[in-house]
Amino acid sequence: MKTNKSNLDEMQELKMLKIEHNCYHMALWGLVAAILVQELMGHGSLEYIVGECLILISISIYMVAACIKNGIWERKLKPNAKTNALVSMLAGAVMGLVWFIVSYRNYHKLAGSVAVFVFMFLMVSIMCFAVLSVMCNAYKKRKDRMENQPEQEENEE
Amino acid sequence: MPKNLAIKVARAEKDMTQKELADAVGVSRQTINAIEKGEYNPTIKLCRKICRVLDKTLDHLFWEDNEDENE
Repeated sequence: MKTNKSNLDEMQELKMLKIEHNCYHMALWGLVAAILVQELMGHGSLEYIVGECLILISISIYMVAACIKNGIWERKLKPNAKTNALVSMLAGAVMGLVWFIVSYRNYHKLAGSVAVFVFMFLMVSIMCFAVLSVMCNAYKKRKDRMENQPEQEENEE
Repeated sequence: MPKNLAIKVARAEKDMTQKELADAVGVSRQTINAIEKGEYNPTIKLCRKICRVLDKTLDHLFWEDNEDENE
């Protein structure tokens, strides 16, 4: 049985890519939601979520590496420090909120939970911003290289 | 995207059904249907195949006037 020839024509192929694209986003954000829900339900220790975390990290690394290799950033967001800072703060706020709830549920101390929120917000925001900045620089370098490639070299790739 | 009536007319001239045209160019009938309804923009490769089968030029089947493009 030959399996290497596609059964789909070009329009079906595009539709299939769109379906796969939707599935990818459902799986990715479902995974993030599953990890956060497990944290909130008190099953947030590594032994419970190691599988999800490994898959999420693998998908993320592949996605970032493939995008940078092809000189692609994001569809709508601009690769600049302001956007990176906003996205990082958003991630920090989400993580801070999750850990605030977890801390308050476990210890019932508002001041301590607020401190946890602030700590998580700052740590995640700073780390996220640092990673985004490094990736952003790598993307810009790759894009410049691709844009300034001599025609001969471009044809050979 | 506007409807592609030119393909429909050329197909009728050749007395071909959507299925026959689809088989001749190696795609599904739903793809030919989507092209005629203006729901799918085919690749240049498929455009050329359709032109060859229907004995028409690219301009004849796929050229759009400015008015059509704005639709």
